[in-house]
Amino acid sequence: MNKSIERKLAALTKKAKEHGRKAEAKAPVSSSLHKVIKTKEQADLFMKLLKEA
Amino acid sequence: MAVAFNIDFNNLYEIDNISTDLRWSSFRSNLNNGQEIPLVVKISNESHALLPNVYNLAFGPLNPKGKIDDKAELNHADYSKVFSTILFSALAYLNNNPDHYLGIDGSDNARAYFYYRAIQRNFRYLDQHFRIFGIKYFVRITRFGKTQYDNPFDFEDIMPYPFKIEKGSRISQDQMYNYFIFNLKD
Repeated sequence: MNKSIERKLAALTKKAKEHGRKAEAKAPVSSSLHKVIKTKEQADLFMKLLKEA
Repeated sequence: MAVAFNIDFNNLYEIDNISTDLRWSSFRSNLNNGQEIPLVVKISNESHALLPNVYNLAFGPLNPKGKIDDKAELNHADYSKVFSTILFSALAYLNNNPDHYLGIDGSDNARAYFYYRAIQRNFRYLDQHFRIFGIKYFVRITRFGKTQYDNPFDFEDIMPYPFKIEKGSRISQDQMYNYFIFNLKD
């Protein structure tokens, strides 16, 4: 990662931590992926495949 | 959305609002008609019980109810700057949460194909920062029906399968990925 991007990332993170608005209340995640995964076995297999891909 | 753009993290709109946890940010995009519109980038803030490190990323203007309208059709004056700013917000989040994955739903085939073309066009740049996967959902065949009226598909038994997207990999619009996931490159 070049220095210019690193500086921009550091500046944005600083802005968020020091002057950012309060984080929103938690809301359930809703996506097609989260809807199709219904069991722990499915989720574990998916994460295994994702890490190995 | 048949528009080509180039991702460049040195060509960004000013992010004028951001939350302390970097999950919510907003910036203003100029439209072709001379108007300026606020766009919001939002990363879901509660993980799925079974996928604790995968979060959804959505972006777009807010509708009157304050929700992101991810189907809004806008004519941006500078698509490169818009998508660079969206992905820079994602990069900042992942930089602070390096074990997380972010996902984007292709709300329909045309939009998913648009994302895929954009990934391919910007692959060399994006590959410096992210690992990118396309996810397809496969449905189990229970058995072939005895008659043409029997339904052999079990739509309750779906397996999402990730494919790492590589430069030049080809996939037709009809077989497009359902979902895209990316995380920080080591």
